[in-house]
Amino acid sequence: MIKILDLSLGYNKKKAPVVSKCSFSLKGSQIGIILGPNGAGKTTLLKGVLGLMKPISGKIEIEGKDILEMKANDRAKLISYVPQSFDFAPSSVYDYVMLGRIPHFAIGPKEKDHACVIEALEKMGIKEFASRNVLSLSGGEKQKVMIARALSTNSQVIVFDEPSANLDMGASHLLLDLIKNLSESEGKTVLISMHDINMAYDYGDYFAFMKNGKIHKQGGKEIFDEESLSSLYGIKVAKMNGEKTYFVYGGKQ
Amino acid sequence: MSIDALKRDNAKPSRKKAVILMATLAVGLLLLFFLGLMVGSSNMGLGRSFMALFGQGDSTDIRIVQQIRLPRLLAALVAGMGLSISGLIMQSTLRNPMASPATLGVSNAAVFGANLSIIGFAGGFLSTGNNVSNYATSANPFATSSVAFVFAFASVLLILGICRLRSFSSESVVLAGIAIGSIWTAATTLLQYFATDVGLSAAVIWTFGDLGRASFQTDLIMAIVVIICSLFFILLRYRYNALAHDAEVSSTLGINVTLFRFLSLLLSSLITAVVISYLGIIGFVGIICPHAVKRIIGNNHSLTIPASLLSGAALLLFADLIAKLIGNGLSLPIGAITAILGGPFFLYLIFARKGDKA
Repeated sequence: MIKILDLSLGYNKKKAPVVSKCSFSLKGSQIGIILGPNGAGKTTLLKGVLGLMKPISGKIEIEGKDILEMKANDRAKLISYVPQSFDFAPSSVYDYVMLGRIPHFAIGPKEKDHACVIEALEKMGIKEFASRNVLSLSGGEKQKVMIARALSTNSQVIVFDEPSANLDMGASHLLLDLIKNLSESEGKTVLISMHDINMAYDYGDYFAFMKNGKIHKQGGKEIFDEESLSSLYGIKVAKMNGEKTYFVYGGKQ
Repeated sequence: MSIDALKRDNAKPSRKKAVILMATLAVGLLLLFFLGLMVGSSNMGLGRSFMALFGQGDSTDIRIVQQIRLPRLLAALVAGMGLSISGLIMQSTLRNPMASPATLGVSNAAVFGANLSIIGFAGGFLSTGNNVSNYATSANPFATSSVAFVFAFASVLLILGICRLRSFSSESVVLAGIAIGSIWTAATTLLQYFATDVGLSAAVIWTFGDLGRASFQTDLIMAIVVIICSLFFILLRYRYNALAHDAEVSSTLGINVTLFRFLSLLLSSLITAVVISYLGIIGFVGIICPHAVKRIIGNNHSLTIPASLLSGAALLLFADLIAKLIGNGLSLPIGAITAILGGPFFLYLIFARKGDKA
């Protein structure tokens, strides 16, 4: 479980904070999704949660432990990160996934670390790629390699920044299915920032609507109403209820 | 899961290639080393050189092999290792394939320091050590090297100090290196403009990398620096694997990226500063060797660090052998030989870069 309390973050002390007084918490195998327009502060919030930015104020707890007070190495064992862009250097898939074990070993990987890597590769169904160069893989495969790296750490919380941004519709759904299965079977808490409302609605358990650095609304699927979404994105959003609920976007209000 | 199970699993990338490469390099290294002991301008022949190595035969022969050739070869070994590992670490730390041991402007600053010592203070360090009757240089052999080192290292600290403002980001380090480097080069030009003929020629000759300047003492100092820095690199090899990919992800893996970059740049530049100050400029080793190694065995630093050390030493020993053989009695400057070997290789890297090498 992860608990964020009154978190404020900023790049410049003289200017107003980019993220101000955000609070929410996720339990057990919940998938939390942060929605909001570009520049709302989603990525900054994730950076703060990951310890990449020193917060101006606030607290982040994972399993009751204050992760901001921890050494970076100990924090890395509790929370791992899957970034949006595939920023790979040439490397074998196996060696890349091994990076996820760095917080656990001092000098070199031990037998247990190799076992964790193989397990993560198996869970993502990419064991047969292990010797291949990450640069030779497709977008979806690269995404899986990054998730395998995060999984090999065995952290309680995994943070995804726009996981479906570089994937087509089909691949996005496959990926989110996979993330959902992982969080259910492994009991991982997942925090995602996302643009696609429909995908979010389908896969999320808990939601935070973010705009101008603040969380305006949070809760379960019941917070998805036309009015809130329209005001969040500044365009008309209509809710369609058929066999499945989905949302369509209209022009300017 | 047991080790046997892992091996059966076949998921772990094979290290066979790396083992073969390193074994070949190690054997080649030994061969080149002994070949180097046998070859030189005195034309004493294989048999006599071999005897002299073990203190047998003519006293001049013994002196040549033990006091001139041996420190020279040890210098090739240590400097090759140092420049190659320094290049590898620079490239990984800065995520820039064109980064080299001299990226922080180390050689420009060292050249300025040496020029200042020779031209400005008549450093008098003219002997290249190839003089049999006077193999131990009479002038203080450390005068020019020390000034060169002071400038080289001060320049490194200056650049790192400036780059701290940008958390040692790759672009800022590379650009600051170019900027400060060109300032040293300009200052050197001004010095040379006012130099006497003798001073100028001595200063220019200093910049030619020359292994003949090495003594056991300088070899020992270089070896200590190279060994300590290499140990640091080897211990943190997995962190270099991470940093080569992505600084942000590295931070979430618990790595203090700013401190790690600082120490890596500092230590790899320290190696370069020491080597260049004692031997002059030896280019391209730090680019050729790490790139060749990476193309053959991939990017895992557990393998590329030892392989770069071995290949750097082998290349310098090879270049030294060539320098002695084609020089026909004269030993050509090793800096020129490595650059002549390096130029075509660099072109090959730029124009033939494709494929699925992990």
